[in-house]
Amino acid sequence: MDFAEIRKKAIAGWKDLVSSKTPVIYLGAATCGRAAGIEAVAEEIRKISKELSLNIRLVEVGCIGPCYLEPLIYIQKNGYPSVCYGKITPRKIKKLLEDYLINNDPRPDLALGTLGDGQINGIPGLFEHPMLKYQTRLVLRNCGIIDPEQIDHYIARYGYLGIKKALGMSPSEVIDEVKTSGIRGRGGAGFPTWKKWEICHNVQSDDKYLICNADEGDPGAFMNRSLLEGDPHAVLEGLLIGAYAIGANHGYIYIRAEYPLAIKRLEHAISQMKSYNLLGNNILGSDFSFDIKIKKGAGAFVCGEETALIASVMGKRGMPMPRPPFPAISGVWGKPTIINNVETLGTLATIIRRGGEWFAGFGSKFSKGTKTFSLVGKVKRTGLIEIPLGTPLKTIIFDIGGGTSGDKKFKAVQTGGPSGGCIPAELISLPVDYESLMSAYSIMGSGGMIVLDEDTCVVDIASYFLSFIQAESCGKCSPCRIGTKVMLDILEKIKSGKGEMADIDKLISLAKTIKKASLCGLGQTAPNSVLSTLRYFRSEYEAHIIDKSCPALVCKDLIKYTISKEKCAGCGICREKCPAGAITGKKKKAHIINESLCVKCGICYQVCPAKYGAVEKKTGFLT
Amino acid sequence: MLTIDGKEVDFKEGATVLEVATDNGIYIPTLCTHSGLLPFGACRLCLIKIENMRGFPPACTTPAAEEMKIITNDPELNSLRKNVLELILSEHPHSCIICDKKELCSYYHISPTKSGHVTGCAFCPNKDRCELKQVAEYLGIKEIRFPFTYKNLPLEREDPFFDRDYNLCILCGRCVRVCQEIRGIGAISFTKRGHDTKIGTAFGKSHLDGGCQFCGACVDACPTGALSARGSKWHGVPDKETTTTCALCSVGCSLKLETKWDRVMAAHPDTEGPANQGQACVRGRFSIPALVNGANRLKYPLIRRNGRLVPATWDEAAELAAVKLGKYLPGETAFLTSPFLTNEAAYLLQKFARVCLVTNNIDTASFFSVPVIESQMKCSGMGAGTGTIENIAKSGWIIVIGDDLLASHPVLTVNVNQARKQGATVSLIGSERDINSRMFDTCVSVEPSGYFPLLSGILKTIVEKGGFDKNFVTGKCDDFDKLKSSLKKIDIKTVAGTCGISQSLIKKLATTIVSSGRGSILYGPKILECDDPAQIISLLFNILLLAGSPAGLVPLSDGANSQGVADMGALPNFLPGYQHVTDKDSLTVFENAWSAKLPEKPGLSYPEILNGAAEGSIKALYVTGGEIPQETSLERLDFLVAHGIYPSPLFETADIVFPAAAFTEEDGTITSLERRVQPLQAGAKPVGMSMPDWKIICKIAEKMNVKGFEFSSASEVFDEICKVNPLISGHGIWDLKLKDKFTLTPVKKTARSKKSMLYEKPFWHYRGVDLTEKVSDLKILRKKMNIEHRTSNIEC
Repeated sequence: MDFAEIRKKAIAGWKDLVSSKTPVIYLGAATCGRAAGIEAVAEEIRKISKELSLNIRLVEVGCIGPCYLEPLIYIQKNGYPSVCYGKITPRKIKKLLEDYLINNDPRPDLALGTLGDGQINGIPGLFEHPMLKYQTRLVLRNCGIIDPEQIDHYIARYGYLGIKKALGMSPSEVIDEVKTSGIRGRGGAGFPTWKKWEICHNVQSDDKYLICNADEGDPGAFMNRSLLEGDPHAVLEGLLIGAYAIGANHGYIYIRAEYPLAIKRLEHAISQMKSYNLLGNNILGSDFSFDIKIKKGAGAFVCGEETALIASVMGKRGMPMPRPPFPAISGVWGKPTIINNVETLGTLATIIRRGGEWFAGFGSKFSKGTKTFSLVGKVKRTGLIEIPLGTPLKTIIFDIGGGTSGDKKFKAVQTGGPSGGCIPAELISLPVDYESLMSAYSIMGSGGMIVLDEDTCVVDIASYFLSFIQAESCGKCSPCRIGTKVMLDILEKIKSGKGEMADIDKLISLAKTIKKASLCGLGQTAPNSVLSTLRYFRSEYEAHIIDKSCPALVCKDLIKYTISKEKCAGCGICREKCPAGAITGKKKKAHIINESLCVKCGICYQVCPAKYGAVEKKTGFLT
Repeated sequence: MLTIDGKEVDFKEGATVLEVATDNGIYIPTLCTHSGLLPFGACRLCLIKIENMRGFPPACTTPAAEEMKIITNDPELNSLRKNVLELILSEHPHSCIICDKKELCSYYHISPTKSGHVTGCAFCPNKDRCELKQVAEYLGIKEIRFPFTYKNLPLEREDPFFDRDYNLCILCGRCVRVCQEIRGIGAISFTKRGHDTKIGTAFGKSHLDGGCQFCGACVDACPTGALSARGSKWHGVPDKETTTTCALCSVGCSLKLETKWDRVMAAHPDTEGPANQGQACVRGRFSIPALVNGANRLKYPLIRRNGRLVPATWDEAAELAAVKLGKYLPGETAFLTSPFLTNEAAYLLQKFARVCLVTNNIDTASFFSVPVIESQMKCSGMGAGTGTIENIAKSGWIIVIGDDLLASHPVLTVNVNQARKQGATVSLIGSERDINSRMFDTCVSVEPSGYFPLLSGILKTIVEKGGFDKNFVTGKCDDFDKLKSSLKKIDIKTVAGTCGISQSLIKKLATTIVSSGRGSILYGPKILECDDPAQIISLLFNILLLAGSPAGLVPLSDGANSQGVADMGALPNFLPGYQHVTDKDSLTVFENAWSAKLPEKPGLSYPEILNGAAEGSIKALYVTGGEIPQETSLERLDFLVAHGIYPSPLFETADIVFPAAAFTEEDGTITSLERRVQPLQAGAKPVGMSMPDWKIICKIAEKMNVKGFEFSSASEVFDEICKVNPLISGHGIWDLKLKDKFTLTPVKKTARSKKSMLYEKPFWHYRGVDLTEKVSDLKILRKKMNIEHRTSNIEC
């Protein structure tokens, strides 16, 4: 079957699905949805459909983004657009199915929006939802919409047209097109993709490797996982295009073993590609041949570093190797190797299909296109988003994210993961692109965005990131291995109220040594979280050191819990819940916390009924 | 041309900046760089500045390039290095390094301080050679601003030979890399990550279980006291170091003997050694002191009086030997040489036999038995292999047959590994051990009886499938057709069945040989267990010829000087330099040189001598090593003289025992398996009244009033050797003039010779002394490696 026929069949199949006479329920069944309980919901739907003898077709799709609304389902009926419902539980589902499928009431009160052509009265389009309204979805265009296990769905939605078009171009033309698009590596460093490719393209070798770096390891980041789970073919098509451009004949997907669903989807997708001659020898009848292997990583953060990743692919310990030689000249098995991030590859098909110039129309001057972010932390609407580069932080945090959870004071946003930095509230209008973030002493990174509010202690957050880096250091080079540990010890010292002013200078001096002397990117950026918090929140460090107080009331050694005599009504909840038995008091009498027994877990603070608000956190009592 | 600290210098393509700097006398501190290892870039001390290059690239990993402008030393770099070293020292006991009284202290701390936990240099076994201390002194570290972290890891002292204290480890990775890159074993690796990173074995096994071969390369590479040789760690700086050649196997490793208090206390490999290039094995590195310093070393000559051996003076003993030996007819005396003798001793012994006792009854208990030598002569023209160690490293394919290479010649695996890293395919035909799979691409487990069918099967596949070096075969080899027709009868299917292997394996071996260019074949003593060892050697040489690599035959001889002893003519049918005794011209040359009438008939070979001794036709026997088969009956002997370094079962019947010096106590030369003549140099005086073997022989000759044995030093003997032996002209590999035309030998199955004799000897021995008896740790290793004894076979 040639590709035109495959496509025709796929489009027909897709049309059948979206205009299906029998109801279709799409389940947001990515890892996030599963964690939120979509499988139980699906089980319940199967049960109900038997009970009510409804003929329902269930389709598992990826994640459309708003994690805070998981689990998500979309009900499509009678050729109407599907209606999206959030926070569905097995308990709620029966009523909803009865209402909509039997009584024809789409429950606008529960609906989040409609997806697909057409309208339903009283329900706005899903993309009018504030979380989605400001987004431009190029990479994520299929996520949450198609069944990632159906290659036909992908093909029906313009899939594999990119590689088809690329195969009609020369590899240099493909590189030029990518150059025109202005796309830069989405893995963190922002190196222009075409430049990397060109070096490798110009190296003569019988074997070349293209590796997809799916070793997403930043705490709180899940962009790559979502994409691989929701639309694996987009990434695989990108791999084909990249391989064709640089002349690679072998591909690896280096993916952490903690992503079992993504691995399953990829394996499935690869077998489907083979059956359509999209992989193997003479792809789509051209001279281009390519194979893809999945290499599972054991989950070391440092394996996201190119040379460590290469070592890991070869079965060695994931330790960075000195450069030169650069991987583009000598990488896996000593052959020219290019490593591209999942998102970079996921964008390529669209770039080639619609042209580099079209893509360059998105974004800012030096940062073209869109970028996905995982928006997490103290923000109302958490989830996976995709925005044109240059979008101000404010739009992201307040318009898309809906502001901080509990409407506390917004303090800062941490971008770029452990290697990035904190951007303070003053810089809220900063456009999010490579240069602007750099100028604010942070980095774009792979797309983690952690929102911090006034309840977050920056010393604590810095020590959290540093402890992560410290534990994930490969242990090879001394500044990173020992330096980060010494820095962490100093931070712990400051957190416990034993810090001295000289410690700040020590931190800065150590940070400089580590940045200058470390072998790989992990070490060179390791102190960033400390440096950026010191830059913007030095006073908070000083409060820990001089006043022995933690303004955010986080650092355990610097806070204490007390119960206000006046406010306490003696309900006894705190006494019951206290794990240390530190609270005493008679019923309807003010309770007291015995400081010597208190472990500062904060449970009393949480359980004290809001109407009393008797438990208080205090700091600054040590001076 | 590049500029380094303002100085314009030339550089070799591919050199790193660090190498260029070192070559030009510019010191850049480094702790992870080690000669022979690939650049690693871990310690971050060699950071430099290069114009137009971002940041501070490390000198050790940055390749030198044209027009580079390099700064290796300025205040900024110095402070950066200091900061990094401070971090390293914050985890290494450093109190002594930064102590301002350290000089005075070291003056009082002159005696070794044996402590368990090392808390400062004063208690460190490595204090005199610590590279970390040297770098700290160079950088002028006066204080450490960070709190000291003692990792408090348990001392690891359960394994044989060396101790490990990872509290001193700075994770430079030299040990890991030397084990992996150079030795190809990979017994250790970095384990865990982050701050918990530690060197260790897989799954925390002991080194013994983790495949460690205890070669000691890691100990030698360690810049700190983290790894230390248990037997010698507390001796401090030796009084002197002597470069000598290891006489425990035939590789010919150069060793530095460390002498303290007039004893050889330790040995470590010489980095300049031509054969070993800084590598050694468990025997050379760790076993020598215990071997040569045993309490029961023979110290006096012994003579039998009233049925008991009693101490005697040298004059007494030599006089007795001279008188007794002189009594017998030429056919009644015989000499058995040890393959561990020096060239000088072997030369004088055969001269003594031929000149003083007019007999050719002299042979060696060695792999180099007469049939092997004759077979080698057919191949190479001399009684030697054709290959060199350097050649092994350059081979495209290697076959090891009939020896447990990792146990018998561990240092050769370094070269095998080197070849393998460059793409060579390495196959093992012979015994099977787990560890072999790390070294060999293919392991074919075949008993010696299967060697003949297997090799003929390989040969047949090569000849029939073609692809061999046709130019070489047509231009330089005779009798290809004869070989081809002799292979007709061989059926691959039967061969596979006999050997218990698959046909595809035979094909695979054949394909490797014809498709990988020049090759090497290393063959060991197990071929002696075959029905016809000579035929096996011819088969191996046929294979090499078809691959166009005549210079690839390497004998894995068991004695350290098997080659030299044979070169010296300690053989029943050859005079020095493989000149046949029946050759009138050669004989005349030697008669003139030695001014004596020499016997014309070939003498008795090893088994014949032993049979003769048992039957009574040999009346007097002169033995210089303990390698006599235990089951030999010597009771009918009239007179037995033995040399030895330790008491041996032979002494029950010996009439005179001469105490010989060990190889660490004598000067001289030995010849390695690659025909390399190398010097021995005494690291200590001979124990007690013992003497080098050559001197003992001179002493007896003197008592017999025979001229031609008046030597005052080993070098005088060597001078005479150089004069009379055309092969030897000095130190170094003696030139093997390969023939212009080779002959391919037809394959013919022959039956085992009736006179052959199989016997067992310790796998690791020196002059018949079982090393594992003297070195208790070696016994543990032997048990672990599951090697018992080595079978030897002597044929007539």
